Amino acid sequence: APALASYKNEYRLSLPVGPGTTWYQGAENFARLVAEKTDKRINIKVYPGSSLVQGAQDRELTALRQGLIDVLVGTTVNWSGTVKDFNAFSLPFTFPSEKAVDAVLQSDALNQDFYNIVRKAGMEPLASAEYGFIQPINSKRDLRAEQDFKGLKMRVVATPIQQEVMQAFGANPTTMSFADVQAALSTGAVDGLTLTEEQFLVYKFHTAGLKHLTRANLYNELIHFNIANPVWKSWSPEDQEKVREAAKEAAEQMTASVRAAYRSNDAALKAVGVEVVELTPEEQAAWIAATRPVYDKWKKQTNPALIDKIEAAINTP
Amino acid sequence: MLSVLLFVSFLALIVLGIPVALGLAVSAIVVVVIAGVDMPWFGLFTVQQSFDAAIGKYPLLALPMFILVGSVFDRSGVAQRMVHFAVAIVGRKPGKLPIVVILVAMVLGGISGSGAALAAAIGGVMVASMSRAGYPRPFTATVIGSATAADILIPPSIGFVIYSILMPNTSLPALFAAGMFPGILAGIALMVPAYWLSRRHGLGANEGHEPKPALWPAFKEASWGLVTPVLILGGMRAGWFTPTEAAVVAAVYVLFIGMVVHRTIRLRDLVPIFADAMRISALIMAILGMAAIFSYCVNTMGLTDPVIQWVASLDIGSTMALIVVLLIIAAISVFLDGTSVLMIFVPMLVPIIHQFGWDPILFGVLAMMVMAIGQFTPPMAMNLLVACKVAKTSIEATLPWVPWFIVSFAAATVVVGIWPEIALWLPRVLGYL
Amino acid sequence: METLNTTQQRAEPEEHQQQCDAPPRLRWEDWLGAAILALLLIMTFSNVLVRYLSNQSFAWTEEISVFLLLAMTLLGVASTVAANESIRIDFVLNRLGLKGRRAILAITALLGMLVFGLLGLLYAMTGWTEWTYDETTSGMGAPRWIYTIWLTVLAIAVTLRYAQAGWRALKRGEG
Ligand code: NA
Ligand code: NA
Repeated sequence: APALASYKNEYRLSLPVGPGTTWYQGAENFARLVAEKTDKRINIKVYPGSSLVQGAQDRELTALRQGLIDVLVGTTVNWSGTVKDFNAFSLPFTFPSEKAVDAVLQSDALNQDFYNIVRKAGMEPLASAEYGFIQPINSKRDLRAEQDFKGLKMRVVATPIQQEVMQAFGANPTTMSFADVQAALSTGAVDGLTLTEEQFLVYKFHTAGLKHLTRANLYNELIHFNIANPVWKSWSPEDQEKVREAAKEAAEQMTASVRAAYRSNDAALKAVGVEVVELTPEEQAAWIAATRPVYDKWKKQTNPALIDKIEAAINTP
Repeated sequence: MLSVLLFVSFLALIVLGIPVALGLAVSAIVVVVIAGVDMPWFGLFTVQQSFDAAIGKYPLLALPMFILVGSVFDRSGVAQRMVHFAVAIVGRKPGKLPIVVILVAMVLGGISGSGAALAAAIGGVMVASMSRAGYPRPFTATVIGSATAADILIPPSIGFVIYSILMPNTSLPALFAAGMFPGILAGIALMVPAYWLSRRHGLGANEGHEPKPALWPAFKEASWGLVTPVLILGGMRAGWFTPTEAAVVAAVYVLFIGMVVHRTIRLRDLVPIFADAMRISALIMAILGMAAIFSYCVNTMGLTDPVIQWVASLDIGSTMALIVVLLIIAAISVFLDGTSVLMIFVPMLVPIIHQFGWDPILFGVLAMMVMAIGQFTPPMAMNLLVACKVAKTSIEATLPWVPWFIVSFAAATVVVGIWPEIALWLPRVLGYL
Repeated sequence: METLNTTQQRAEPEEHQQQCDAPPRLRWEDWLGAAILALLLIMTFSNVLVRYLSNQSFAWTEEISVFLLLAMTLLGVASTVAANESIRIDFVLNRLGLKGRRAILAITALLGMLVFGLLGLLYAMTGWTEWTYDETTSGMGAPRWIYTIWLTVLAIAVTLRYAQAGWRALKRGEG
């Protein structure tokens, strides 16, 4: 079918990260697949660094509602200020393993309950992918047990959940913008932070003296592919189907490459002199227990029914 | 087409004398509406989003704080004491007072974040004594105007605050450290024509008759001010505070000097001081907010790609391209103030810097040096303008003197370009790179 | 390049003296803006102190600081418009006759009203969206519209100051 009159020449996709990351590759992949599958009726242009909102990634959803952004590929935690249910995957140890991620990706909790929340928030969710495990990394010592955190100044973003998690471990959470982090690490204003291994390597944080990484799988997130509702409705049903296929393919590839990278990180981390600590199941259970009060508190404040379903999906063998 | 409209309408508006912030906003809004016909509300929401996001950045808090530091120390009596101390060191002889001015500007540059405020403060203290000593007023204005231009290089610097916010992967402490030696080098470069011109034209004939203060008491009096730069840079290095907080700590410390140590500031002076700093900050931050709408247009119209392709197609190599870009910045800086230049052009330069693989820290320092020259190059020269006002002379009258200082400052820039270690050594030793 | 009257005033030694002896007339924007700057100073400085004394930090103040920065900017713009201060190239302006000067100042005022009037309208509509969608801030979880509504009011205050400036320009040719 030829492009309808209501189609725009270009649809704008926003994401906070830049080239060189799996996340960016996923978005670019999606844009390419959409153009291929719709015979270039739908052209998506990728704007990295949240440049459409001057880098203010927490304003992306508002900008989408105002028509400035058409496509969002991102974690809902960035928009959790806009919709509080979007914290659903940001609690500590929601995903203890890749198996748990797979279970959630296929669950009704995600594909029905959560997607309906996303629709109400103003956009059509098409597919979701894994973000990657987020680990605590610091310059002082190996973190195995809770008491290892004592006195560590850990940089967190200005959200209460991350601060309370660090306090639960006995560390001192310090908030600062990402722009200040590198300098703060080199001067010792902070001793560490939480990052995915990929981010750690891309931003070369080992040069700031970070040497100790614990594979605790503290957080993980899902990256969702979304289209603004008015834009979605302006497309023909055939094109909608093709765009959804493109998103599913891009999401699957993204999850696969996040995991492939995770396996190959060992060598890369060793090469830059980073000590990777693997926790025993007992040690990890202790970490989970320490953060349980924070988890329970924020589960209650976020959306207990939804999180119950997410837990059930993970715990079903 | 739209990009031509964007730039031409902006230039037309500001040349006519429309304030820079409004010129940016109006030309950008027109382009947003034309490009946004198929968007809800013509895509105008970007006006509010961009304005909000550009100003609503926590690290930007450093900007009003460093301006406050400038406003406070202007009335803190620090400048007067610093001059006494410098005279005590340098001594009294024809040609020495201009060197005192430049020395004081360099040290106070370590407290002040903006050159114009510094020109006002030093001018207030120096103009009378330089006239008595027999220096012509236009010469005095030229020395003050050029010496305070180096302020943008010597940390703290509002120019670097803005640059680090706009340029990805550059940390403010690294930039601050990188500006230090180039700033000192520029100061020394300015001393050469200042001294040489004085001797050659027999300026400052009466200087020898002026009283010479004793060294030790002058040092004790000046010590509170001398410690400030150490506190700012040392505190950041020691991890006591972040760059954003360093600005706040500096403001509190300078307030303490003015109110408690030198007692030049009374409680009731505080409201006008704070109001003053607030207004100057607002003028700058309004430009920042409106420039964000402008750069949104540049970004969404895909303007940077053709520019990069053009620069790449010149096939002149990385070094020549760097020289071309710096010359363009220099030309623009002659007509526009440094912060406006940064806010309009840095977002466009990001991809070019990537393309050629230039070090963003070194590039920032070189760009800042080139911009500093613009701050005392007529016709539109902020620092020179302020210096002329204080010295009660005209910009036209400075024309015989200014070119020597421009050439000398430019030579210092070339030296840093040839030996980048002058800029990069300190941040590396401090562990910022 | 520009007329930064604030600095120029300070540059005149006589006026400087005057300022210290008899403070210049301050508008409500100056009082409020100065108070906000002082508040920013106190909040950030206490954060440094508290972090040292207790190893705690009230990071949640970050979003308040960011809001105050925006509010302060709009207040400062309102005040500078009222005081005829701006950052502009006055080369052409200074060489125009009274009529030409008046025309440019009136155009400036008109453009200022349009830009900040638009900004106020957009803030109002954004506040409305935030209210209907129950948007909250990520730091403190406060309703976003509470911040936005104040920015709406301040953008309107700037618009009114520009209207005043336009009136002055047309009526008395001041600038
Ligand atoms: Na400085
Ligand atoms: Na100039």
